[in-house]
Amino acid sequence: MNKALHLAPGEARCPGASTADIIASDGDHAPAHLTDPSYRFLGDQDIPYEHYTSRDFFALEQKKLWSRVWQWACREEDIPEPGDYYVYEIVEKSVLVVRTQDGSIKAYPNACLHRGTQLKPAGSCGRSKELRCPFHGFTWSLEGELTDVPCRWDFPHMEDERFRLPELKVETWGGFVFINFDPNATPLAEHLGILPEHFAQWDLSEKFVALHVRKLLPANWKACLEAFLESFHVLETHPQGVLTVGDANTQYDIYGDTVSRFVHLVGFPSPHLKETFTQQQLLDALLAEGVVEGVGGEGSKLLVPEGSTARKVFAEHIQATLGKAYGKDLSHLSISETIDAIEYCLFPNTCFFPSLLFPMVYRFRPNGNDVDSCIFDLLYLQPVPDSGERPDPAEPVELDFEQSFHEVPGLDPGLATIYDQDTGNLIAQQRGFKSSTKPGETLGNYQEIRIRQLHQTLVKYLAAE
Amino acid sequence: MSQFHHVLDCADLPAGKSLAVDLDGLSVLVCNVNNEYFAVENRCTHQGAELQGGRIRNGMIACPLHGVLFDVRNGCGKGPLGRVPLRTFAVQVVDGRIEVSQEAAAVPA
Repeated sequence: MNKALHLAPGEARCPGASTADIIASDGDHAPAHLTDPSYRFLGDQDIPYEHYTSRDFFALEQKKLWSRVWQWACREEDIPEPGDYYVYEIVEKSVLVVRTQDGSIKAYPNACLHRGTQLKPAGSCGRSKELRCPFHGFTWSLEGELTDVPCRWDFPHMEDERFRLPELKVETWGGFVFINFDPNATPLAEHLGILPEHFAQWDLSEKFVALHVRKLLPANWKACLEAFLESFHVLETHPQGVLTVGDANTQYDIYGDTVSRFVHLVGFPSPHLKETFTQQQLLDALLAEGVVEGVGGEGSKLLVPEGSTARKVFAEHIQATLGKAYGKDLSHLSISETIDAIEYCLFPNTCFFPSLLFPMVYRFRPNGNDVDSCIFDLLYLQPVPDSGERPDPAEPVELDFEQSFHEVPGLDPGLATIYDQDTGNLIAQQRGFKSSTKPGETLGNYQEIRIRQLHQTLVKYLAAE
Repeated sequence: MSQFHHVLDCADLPAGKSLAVDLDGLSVLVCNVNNEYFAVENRCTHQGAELQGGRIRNGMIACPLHGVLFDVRNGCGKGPLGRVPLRTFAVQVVDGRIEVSQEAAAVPA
């Protein structure tokens, strides 16, 4: 008899020690919110496949989601000096984000007010003194004032005040520049919810983009994002990790409509494994074939002292190794913040990790107006060294649909395999959505709660007038 | 045999900066990318603007006028406005002196 059947829906958990128990047993100063679960049952209805496949649904997202939701366009480090600009693209829109003379940031629709040409090329960033259309040379200041009209005699009707560049809403958080197309949007803080509080000790603005991969993926943007919102798939998709990472015991949390989280343990074997392992065996596995191959290091074998744990020894090893590599003292971090994969999702399409071993940001945008494909940005946010010298943010390494993450210079081979495995399933899923005679997907009540939250929030956006 | 001309000293050109120099009547932009030196023609192939003053980051220079991006290491442009590459010039550094020749830069393997 399945005991879970006696519980209310959403109450059942993987048997054995919980993530919160294991972090608590680390006995250190892990942030209290990590061991404070925040789950709500949100229903168990199927999610219609048409959310992923319908062109009408996609058009509705374009009209009611992307044109109204806060979305990050670039990092502040992309535009550090007056005159620096960055072109952000979402679906069919292009936005010009500009650092003005007084250091503030403005965002303009990337379109000339004469005949519409993009003022700066798609996919570009750079620095200029003014914004000059490449077609006829109509020119605006960084602040958006019309400064030059070629053949002014022919445009008596082009009054300077009416021909200021229209401004989009801009706010920043954690070194990210967010924009919103909706002039009536509520403040960004409302959208961020609990994020600033949970990232108070993990300031993303004090980091720089050390690696940026931009890959095309052959599935709807939500399916791509959702491949990264649960670790239920680890046992089947990433079998190499069972000894070194949790899966079914991962903790899932939701906060309001716009933020969700998982806390995915490292250095604790999958609860699917029935054998028991010594702490030394776990440490050996972490260093030999763990999630991140590059951390094993040279030199003498690391030993787990009597009474200590693989998690503790591994965390100290990571703090020392990465601290040296980053020119930064990292010894103040708790074990969990050092080695666990802690992932926050901010609606609609971004994940932030406050974690030393997993310093990633993910973003999933529709690939133009294609319902069936997506642009995946993968960033590594590395701490700015204690010297304070901030390196330039990395140029994106672009990967096409068929290319492997192993082609990215500098990407850890263990992680490249994981990303190849994660993204390898996507085309099969997108095609499966369309082949199924069952109209929607059935989600686990607990492990897939973040996916349900995403769709429920999305539906709220689409239903708004 | 290509002929190299002394155009600048390394001390004149910090990392991330570029300076235009005259090479037999041709304006050539010498660029410092993380203390490696490259030289390209100082004229955007898009609409002829001077590239001097354009921001260089990760080896890419952004034309200050319309923003077309070029890789100063090999001259290649990015996107539909950058289909025509920049001419490149071979550079050598001898005793802290930057020397440029009319020959094209060797394309890295």
